[in-house]
Amino acid sequence: MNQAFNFFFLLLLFLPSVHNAQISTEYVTLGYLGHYAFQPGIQAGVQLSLKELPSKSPATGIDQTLFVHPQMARFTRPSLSEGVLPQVDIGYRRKKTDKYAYWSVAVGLGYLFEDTFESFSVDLATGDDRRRKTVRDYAWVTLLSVEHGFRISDELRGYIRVSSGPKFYREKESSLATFLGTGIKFSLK
Amino acid sequence: MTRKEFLTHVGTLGLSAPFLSYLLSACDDDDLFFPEFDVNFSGKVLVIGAGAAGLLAGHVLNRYNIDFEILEASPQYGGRVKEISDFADFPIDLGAEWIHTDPNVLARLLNDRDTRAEIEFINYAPDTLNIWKNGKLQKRNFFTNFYGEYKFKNTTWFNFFDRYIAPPIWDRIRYEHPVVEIDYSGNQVAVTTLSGETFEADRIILTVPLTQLKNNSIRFLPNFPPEKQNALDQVEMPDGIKVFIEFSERFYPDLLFFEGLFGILDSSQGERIYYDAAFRKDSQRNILGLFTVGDPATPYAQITDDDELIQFMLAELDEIFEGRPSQLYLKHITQNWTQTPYIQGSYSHYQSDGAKEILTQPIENKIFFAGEAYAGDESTVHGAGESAYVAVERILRGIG
Repeated sequence: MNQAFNFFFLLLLFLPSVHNAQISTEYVTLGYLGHYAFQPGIQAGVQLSLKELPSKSPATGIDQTLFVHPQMARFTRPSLSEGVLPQVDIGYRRKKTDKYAYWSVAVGLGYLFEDTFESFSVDLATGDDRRRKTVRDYAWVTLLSVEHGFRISDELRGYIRVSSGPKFYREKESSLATFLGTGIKFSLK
Repeated sequence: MTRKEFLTHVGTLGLSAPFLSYLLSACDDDDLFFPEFDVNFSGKVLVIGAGAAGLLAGHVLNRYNIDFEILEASPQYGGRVKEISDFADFPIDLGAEWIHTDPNVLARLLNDRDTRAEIEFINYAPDTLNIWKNGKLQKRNFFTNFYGEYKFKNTTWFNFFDRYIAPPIWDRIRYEHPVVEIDYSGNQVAVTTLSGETFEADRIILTVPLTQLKNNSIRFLPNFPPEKQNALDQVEMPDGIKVFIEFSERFYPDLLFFEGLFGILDSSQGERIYYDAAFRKDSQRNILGLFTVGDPATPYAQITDDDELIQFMLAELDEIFEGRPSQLYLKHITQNWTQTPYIQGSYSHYQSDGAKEILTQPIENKIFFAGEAYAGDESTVHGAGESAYVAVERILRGIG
């Protein structure tokens, strides 16, 4: 999985190229990520504010933000496969100025490193699993995400996110990825 | 909820178990092996049927040095566990094929910590899944995320029994001894075969398929108890057939379902799948399998002429795959379980929860029952084996 981490850091290096004067680090994010909800995993990232959009009418009191969110996820389908997914989301967040709850939508691009446990041996004397044979495949993953966030404390936000999109494997046929994520965001402001 | 209760509740006629196996595999292994127990029995046991349950019953009886014989109706052991080793470059299960629980259940069935052997298994989680519905072939690969169970890699269910269970008890099996009468009116149980030969024993373990009881192939003296007869009416053993076809090229997905996703989830009336039988087998051959049971199996199982059957199947496949199957066809092998003597069906499908409990109860502490129909994990090979352990333990501990 070292390739996955290398890929992730390349993404981080890429970010300064889109840097402008308004970019700032908003949150460090950490949460549960379930592939199809039940294939458990974790996801961590850094959410950066790209641009504060002006409200069409100041009277409406709507805060609009464009953000970029590089993340690294690891999830497993117990006994069957493991995946590492570095990805970057670019999204739009909208919330009322006097409220803490927000909604956001984002599009993301990731590169999945997936290890599949194809076969294994069982010791007939003990029942123990031994000698797993693993194969690796790779997939570009494009995701559309919808997220709802809420305030936990001044420094903490909670979020629930649903993401879905196609996985384009190198060796296998394409498939659909759907993630359910929930976690917290630590404010760095 | 235990694993057995879980499976019992969801039902296992269909492919419901595969979608759950990844959860079941999380069960702890503290109770993997059957515990030793004190024997309170010294008589003779007759096992009727040398399928999975009959062989496992013999395996346990032999371990406890009990006098026993196995009467098998057909010329070979295995029952619905059967293989063909020379059709492809890997052995093929003509009967039971998938392992519907953690494969360490084989260590449990063998129950011998001195065994020095390993068996290799495949994580049967297909990569490609298609659905044929309304005349269209639709990709539904995302559904493979919900599908996971196990298969043997280089061996078969039959090979497991042939190699590890049967050898010590080979000389105890009497082949071509179909039982036609069981007289349990006396202290001893008298069992009569079709040839008129009579065997006597203190206890019977009856492992024949349910069809043999439902169609009265065996006469009981006194009659089969009415409550058991009523329970028998609430369980079916519907049609079942498997066909394997070799093609010169591959054109099919790992799994092909019919009738949409609801058809996958609802297998109460049976099921029908085409599948890549060589999936993860390190095979160079293109072997497509048909597995069907219940109502969907009937159109296939009722065709008794093999040439007519393969033409029927190729026509069906040609419609799905635009005529390629007929062009690429090389050969096939059929195992029609509905037409197989002394089997005549697939596996049990209960219409009510209470029927199995009634059927599993011994008759007068003389006739005990074992097989997939009496198992906690019904309709499975490992369930059949576990039911044999239970039946033998009840006899040997004297807790009929």
